[in-house]
Amino acid sequence: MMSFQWWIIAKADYRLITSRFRQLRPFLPYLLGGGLVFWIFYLGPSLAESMLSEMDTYVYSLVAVVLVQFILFFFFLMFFIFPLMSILQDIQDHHFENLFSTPIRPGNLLFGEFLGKMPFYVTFALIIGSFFTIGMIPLGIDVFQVLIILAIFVLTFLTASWMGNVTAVLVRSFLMKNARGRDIGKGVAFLMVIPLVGIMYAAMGGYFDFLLDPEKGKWFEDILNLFPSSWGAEIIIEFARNPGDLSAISSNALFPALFLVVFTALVFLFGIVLANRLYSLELKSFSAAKAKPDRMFYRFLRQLLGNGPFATMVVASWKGYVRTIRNLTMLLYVIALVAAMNIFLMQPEDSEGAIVSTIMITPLLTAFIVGEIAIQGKENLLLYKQTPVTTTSFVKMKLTHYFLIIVPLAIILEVIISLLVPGIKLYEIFFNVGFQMAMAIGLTLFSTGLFLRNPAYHEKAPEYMINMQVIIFVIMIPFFFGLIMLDMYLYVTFGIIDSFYYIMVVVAFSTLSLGALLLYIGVRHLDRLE
Amino acid sequence: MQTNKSLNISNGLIQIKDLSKYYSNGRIRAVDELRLTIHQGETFGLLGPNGAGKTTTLRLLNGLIKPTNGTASINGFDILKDAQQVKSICGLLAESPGVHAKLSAFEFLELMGALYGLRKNELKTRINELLTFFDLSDRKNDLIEGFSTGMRQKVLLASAIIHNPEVIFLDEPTAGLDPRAARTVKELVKSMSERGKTILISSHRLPVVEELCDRIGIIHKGQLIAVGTITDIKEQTQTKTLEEAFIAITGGNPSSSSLPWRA
Repeated sequence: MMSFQWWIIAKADYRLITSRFRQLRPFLPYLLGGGLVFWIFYLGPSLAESMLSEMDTYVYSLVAVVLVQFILFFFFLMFFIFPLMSILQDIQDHHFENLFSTPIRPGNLLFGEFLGKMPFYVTFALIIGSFFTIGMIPLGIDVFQVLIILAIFVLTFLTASWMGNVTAVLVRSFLMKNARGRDIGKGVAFLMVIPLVGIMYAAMGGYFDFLLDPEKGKWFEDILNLFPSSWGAEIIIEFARNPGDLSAISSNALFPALFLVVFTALVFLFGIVLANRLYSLELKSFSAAKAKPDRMFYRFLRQLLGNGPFATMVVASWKGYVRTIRNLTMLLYVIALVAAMNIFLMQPEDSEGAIVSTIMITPLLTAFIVGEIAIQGKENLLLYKQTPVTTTSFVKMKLTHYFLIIVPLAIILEVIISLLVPGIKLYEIFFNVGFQMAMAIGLTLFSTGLFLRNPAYHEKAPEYMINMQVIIFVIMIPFFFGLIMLDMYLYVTFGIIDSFYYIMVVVAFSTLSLGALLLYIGVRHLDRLE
Repeated sequence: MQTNKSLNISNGLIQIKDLSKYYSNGRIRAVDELRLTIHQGETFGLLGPNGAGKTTTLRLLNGLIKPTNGTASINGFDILKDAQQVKSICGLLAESPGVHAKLSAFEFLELMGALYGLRKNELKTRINELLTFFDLSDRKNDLIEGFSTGMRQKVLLASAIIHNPEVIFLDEPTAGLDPRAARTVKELVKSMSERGKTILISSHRLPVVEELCDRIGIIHKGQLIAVGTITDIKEQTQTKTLEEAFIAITGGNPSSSSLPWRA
């Protein structure tokens, strides 16, 4: 019985993941399996038939293998990073106290947890793999070739996600030893997505176009060959070049693929052994982070805000914010995103471009910062209600705190991006900065109102994600409405040709008004919240 | 505790020898050279102020963490060398453990029982018995996330005894329970004790300890500073109640002159 501990854990983990649709649980494997078979062998290939001629040309090109390797590498990285992010975002040890009080071996726990999630990893791997096979089925590859290609995807991505899980567990067992570590975990998890975004932007910006030249891309191919994601790439292309002929595989393609199978087995074994050695509930230290006496900045802030109880409230809110590493890494993420966008994707060529390239950043910035308002739970949000402080004072305090972070950051980012524009004029910089300020204020009001109307009491609460999406997309309504509809109206009515700045003024006012309205709704809701 | 049960004094079921757990390079001594013998069938209470080392002691004895020095044996199994066997014969109700909130009470107990190696049919019977005992049988398919603190505590207690362990560690067993549920738990502890189980209870609730324990130990700053029956402890400290004895041993009586602004 004890040798099947991993199976017991896998069953429990599968139940945990599928608990939202418990009624569907008995049919889920059939629904997923049936859906995949229908997509892979019927629907997908029929849709892909029209692409046949382009696919044919691509398959016989010299860069086919390296391009497949690159795509597989990107997804390999994704499958490695996502379990890491997911585990580190929510580091808790209480749950393990129960499990480790039983005679379970840590390796079995880890393997079982992975096995419980495996049906979903496999499904994702098959979906990604299917985009390759549906393009190749019209070329004539047979069922066995399809299955081998899909197996390569499954093996590659399972290896990546297992490595991600093992790494996460090792990092977690180190970080969960104190509260600071848990906070660091959340922060680090957030930064992990940056390399993926960087690669994506670079690919979109044409920075990997050199791969289309076999000579220039040789060094990159050599690097990619070091990763397991590349070891099955050649076999995929050889199948596409020799449809229906399993025997046509060269040893150059076969050996790396066989090595992938062996490597996967070894990685799984190694992970289990490692978990048995390092997975523990041992605390490293009892030492808690200590608060330092208020230095110049906090004394200045108190002075600035009048040195009264309001100033103390704002300073306390600020301290709580900056001492949470996740909050700081979110800011770093936004800055990295701006940098990646401007380096790889869209260098602003004129003053208008500088506004466009930051238009999506301010909502992200405000959403990330304001999202903390209820994140420590409802009781914490309503703490002020035990005191004579009114809801309005509480909201004013929070808004002051948010403005003090968001507005200067938005200004700095806008100034830097505007200065990247060759020959930009001073008044254009002033306009851009003024616009960003108005947007930052409007969006802060909007986000605060939204997070009060629809509070998110945990980072993983559905409300958190929904609010984020609403804030990020709400800006698109006045912006694109202005650019399309208003542009035409201004031209037809007033004969204005270059209406961008007029439109931006309207966008800023709309955002401010929308912000004020939502803040009113949010405050009213908070007032009634019990 | 007034019972007629006989303890097997000759047999120290739990033998703790100089057990220590240090943190921060020895600057923090969570448990410091603890020496104690708990007999088979005995219900022993571990008392102490917050941060005294009670929970760390239970975690050490259950093999969740490893001692810095010293060791302990439970029914002859060493907590360092035979950690798996120790866990097999012990049940732990941790102070604030996480539960799998997205599992139902039945599914959670099924998981825990299976991890202790119980076979399917036996496990099902035991789960149903435990759920009935804890008055949860009509909620057995409800997800734990919808349970109150007391109901969660009942599920956790059920998970700690599902494999009928020889030794049971209970960390604040009545925390969060209403008086009726607390009574159920206390009756359960008494009946397990009468059936020869060895029970180690860590608690702040002195009436609970007074009612259930054959002997108590008072732990302060990681050190065991008093051991004996409640009567012994009261006599040693020349006090009338366990509360007075506890404060006399551990100190910390608040000065009446503190917080002068109250007036």
